[in-house]
Amino acid sequence: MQSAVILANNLSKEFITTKKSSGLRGAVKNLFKPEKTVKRAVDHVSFEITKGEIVGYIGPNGAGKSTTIKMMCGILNPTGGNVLINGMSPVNQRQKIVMDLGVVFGQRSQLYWDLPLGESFELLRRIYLVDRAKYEANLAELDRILNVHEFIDTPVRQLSLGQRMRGDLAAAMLHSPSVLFLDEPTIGLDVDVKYAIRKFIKEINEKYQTTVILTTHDLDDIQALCKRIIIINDGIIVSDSPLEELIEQELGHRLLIVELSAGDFHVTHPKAEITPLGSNRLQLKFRKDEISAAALISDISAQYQIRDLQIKEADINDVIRQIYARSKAACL
Amino acid sequence: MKPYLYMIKIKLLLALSYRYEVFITFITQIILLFVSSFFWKAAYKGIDSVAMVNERQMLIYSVISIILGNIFSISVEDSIRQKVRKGNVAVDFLKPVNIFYMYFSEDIGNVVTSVVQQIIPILIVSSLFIVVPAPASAVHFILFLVSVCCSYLIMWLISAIFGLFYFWVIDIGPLGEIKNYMILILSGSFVPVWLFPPIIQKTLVFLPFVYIYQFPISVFIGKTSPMPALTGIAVQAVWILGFGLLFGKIKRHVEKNIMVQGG
Repeated sequence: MQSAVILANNLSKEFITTKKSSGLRGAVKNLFKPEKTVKRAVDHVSFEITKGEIVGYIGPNGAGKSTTIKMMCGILNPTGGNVLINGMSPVNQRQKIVMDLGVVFGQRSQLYWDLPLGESFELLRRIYLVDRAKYEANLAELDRILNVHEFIDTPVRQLSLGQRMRGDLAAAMLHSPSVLFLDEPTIGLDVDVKYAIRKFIKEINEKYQTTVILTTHDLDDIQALCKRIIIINDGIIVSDSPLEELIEQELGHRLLIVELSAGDFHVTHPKAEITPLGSNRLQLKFRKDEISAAALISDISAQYQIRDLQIKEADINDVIRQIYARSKAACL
Repeated sequence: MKPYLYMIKIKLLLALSYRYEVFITFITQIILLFVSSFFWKAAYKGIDSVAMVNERQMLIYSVISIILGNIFSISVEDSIRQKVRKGNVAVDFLKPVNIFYMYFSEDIGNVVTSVVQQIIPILIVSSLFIVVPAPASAVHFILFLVSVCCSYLIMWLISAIFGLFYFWVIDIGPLGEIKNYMILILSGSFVPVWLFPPIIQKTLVFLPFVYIYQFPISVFIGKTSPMPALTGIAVQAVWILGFGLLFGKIKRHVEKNIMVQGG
């Protein structure tokens, strides 16, 4: 077991908001006795992430994902609990931690709006004290996957969203950090750019053992990258397990759809639940641990002739929706 | 130190990308320059000197005041305000640097930019058409430079303290504007405080404002002689210390309770 790169222990964050009453009477009331409500954005969150992991950190909007990330970077101080990054606490060692941290907020940019991309890179090179030779090497490497040289001399304000995102990713990796936080890095991007970004994350993870925490609403990102996912809802972690396991335990079954040539059939199978779909098509719902797809197919083809078949993989979207729905129900 | 120096360069580059804006600012400065020179020429008609300041000295006073106004256009307050509102301050806090040194470097970059883009042209126009803004003596000039640096620090700290307020009230509305006008009027940047009623003059001695504009300029024109100038610089140092401590205290509080807007 490798040591933990990130260790969160009962991490909590409360926000106090003043409730504004409306009308004149409300305004007077607000002035003298404001009504304060406490919202727990993150509630006793604990997890441990080891070096080289890519972890998907997902949850519906407002679940507390970004708040957790912000606490991990030291931008927000936790109300309770603590978090350690490489054994250091962001609360009192922020500057030291961020030296080895790359962060991309999909909705914000750390690039200078009016300057060519390359100028922002040069500033970052000096901020992170990267020497020129290493910088050139890193940039060449980043350029290979992200193709930033195409627009390195263009002012950032003239870049398309996809280009800007690639620029931001490159900017976050210029100092080769060992930990990378990506907060919705593929938001609003087209298929090609998404693909390039996923490829980039995968490569740096394999090559440098970079630990990546990824929050996203795009579950294709998760499926392509993460082996482990942590699901948070209403500030509470509702699930933390390997992706495979999660799908297995949530759905547990697969679907086999067969089309038979004979119009007159009566199929039964002890280990599958069968529903006719019409026009000679049948849906067989089975559990992987009870019977393999191959065995099921051969059982059926022993009785009838199969014209076409299709195995439906478990859909992660269904899994997540199911978990969200359940945790919502638990809250009510 | 290097990232801070590079920040100054970046500010210069940014300023150069706004050529149109530079031109407009320059025109307003020139208009201001002429208006204030006409005003003082009219006011001095038939009078040799007021409070031991003659017409030529007063004209130099107004030119230097406009130049200082350019130097003191500090952006830290506004840039914190905008960054807090949009939540971009988060990105600044993710850098392994002291962000306030970074903001200070940005402002020094602004000073360098305004020397090149505004101050040199203003000096030329003023020398050609109004008055050659020469200091009273070399000693006066050196003391002037020292006290301008102190004034700059006082101004910057006041701006930065106001900027810090935005971290927890998000918007302090017209308070920042009121502060700016207070400084403009009470610092003697338009009309020297020695023309105000005596009671106001006596009160203002105990406030930092006159030490921002009027004090360095009166050193420059020779109204304040070297010895009192040194005392004045000592008073400026006290104000810097005071505001510096206040700034440090608020900054620590903010860093403990940072609030970043937006998802």
